[in-house]
Amino acid sequence: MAKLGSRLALAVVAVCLKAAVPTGPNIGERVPDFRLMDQGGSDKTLRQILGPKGALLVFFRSADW
Amino acid sequence: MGAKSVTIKLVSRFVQALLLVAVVAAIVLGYRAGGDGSLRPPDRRPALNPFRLESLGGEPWALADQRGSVVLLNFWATWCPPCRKETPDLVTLSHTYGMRGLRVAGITMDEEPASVVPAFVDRYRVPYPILLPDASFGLARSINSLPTTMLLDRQGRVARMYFGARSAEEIAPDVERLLSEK
Amino acid sequence: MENRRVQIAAQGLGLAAISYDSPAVLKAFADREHVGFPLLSDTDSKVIRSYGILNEGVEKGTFTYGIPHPGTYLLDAGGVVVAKYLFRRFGLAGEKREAVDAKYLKFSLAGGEGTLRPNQRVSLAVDIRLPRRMHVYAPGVTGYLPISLKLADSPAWTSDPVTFPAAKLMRLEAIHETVPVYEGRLQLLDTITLSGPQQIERLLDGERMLTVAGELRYQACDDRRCYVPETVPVKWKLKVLPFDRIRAPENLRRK
Repeated sequence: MAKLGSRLALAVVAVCLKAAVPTGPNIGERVPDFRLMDQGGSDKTLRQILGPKGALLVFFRSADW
Repeated sequence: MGAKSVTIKLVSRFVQALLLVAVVAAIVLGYRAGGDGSLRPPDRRPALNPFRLESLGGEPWALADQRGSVVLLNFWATWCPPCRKETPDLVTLSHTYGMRGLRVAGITMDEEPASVVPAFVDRYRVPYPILLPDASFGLARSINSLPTTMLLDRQGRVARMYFGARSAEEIAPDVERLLSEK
Repeated sequence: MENRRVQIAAQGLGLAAISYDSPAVLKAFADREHVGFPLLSDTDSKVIRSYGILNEGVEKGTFTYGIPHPGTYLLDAGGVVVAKYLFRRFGLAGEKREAVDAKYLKFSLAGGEGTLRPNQRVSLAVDIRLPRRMHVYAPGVTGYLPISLKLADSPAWTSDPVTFPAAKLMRLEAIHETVPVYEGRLQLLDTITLSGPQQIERLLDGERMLTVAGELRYQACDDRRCYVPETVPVKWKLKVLPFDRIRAPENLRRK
């Protein structure tokens, strides 16, 4: 796990975007756990979302507006 | 160096993943690709509830009667400039594919269609029926932007939805595909 | 969309999206857009906060408070961030007194602040912000639904005609028409004259607040599509005190 992180860190440095706004967890940090309900009404935890190689976690404004 | 080639492989895989990230994020962040991106495979096409409406000319039009034909339903209104821009293209599609089994119908969301639509039909020489929603027509309630176009296969299932004005060139390939299906 | 989800899964990556919408809103979106991966509901923005990405630039109390700074995190199998992809475009202008929940457009209502007296005139404003490329129609159009603000009839006030800003002429080349429209930001102003104390007194609530209610109607289009006409209820609460009947102290009055 750590090996994967450090290998990809090499590739990642060049593409990380700078932003003046808070950007959340940093590269190399473990993200906070969660348990949230999905659109079908079932709870999902971070662990359940993570696949064998990891996951894409997308934060967006709203599905409504 | 062995390590370098591994890094390059990981970089390209990663860049690929980043592109996916951007695409997924863009989609989920509300960028509308304009409805369904492509024709749905037959096993993923939902059926529409049967409905029956009156046309502007007073004739009845029932979805069930269109079985066997490919159907294009276009929700529009005279107060919608993109809809009017698109109308000549729908007229073209109707003329080009009508003999091969395409049925086009416009469904007007004008509040007082009888007073505004006839002039429009004359002006744009619309050859297909314009249907008038009635109070029980639930499908119209799900429409929140115009034009919205539904393309149904020969079995009355929704094969694709288009949001926003489209050209005949964009829609024709889908019509051809559906016409070639049984 | 389905293809991409499959590609992501083929890479061994999980996929989920988080917003502050309720599960019901997410379900409607998922059904409409055929989303096949989990959309997670963080209605009190707890997770958004725990990730440190709550958008603090949004005014508390408005319906938009609670949104995150949007972004995407690529995680490894242990939940460690390997990459971040962030958007900087999404910001909200400061909201004025009260933001109204309405589709596509952002409104805020202002005016009528402070304390008022019967027979006084007061201006009430609706500030509208349209997304880029979206327009609404200005009064005077034919064949289109112009934007309008109409207050309810009430014995407690009489309204001047609403003032509208100057419209921009938009050329709709494809249909050979030129129409007056509004884009970007605009303000509608409705100046009302409060009635006399007898008419108003009956309509005040326990805190001497008078509710002035009305409706904003509009029909918005962008360059590719038109949205169905919308009617949005709007209201202002005005504090109305009685006429000032307190006289100056006896020794200061004119004789």
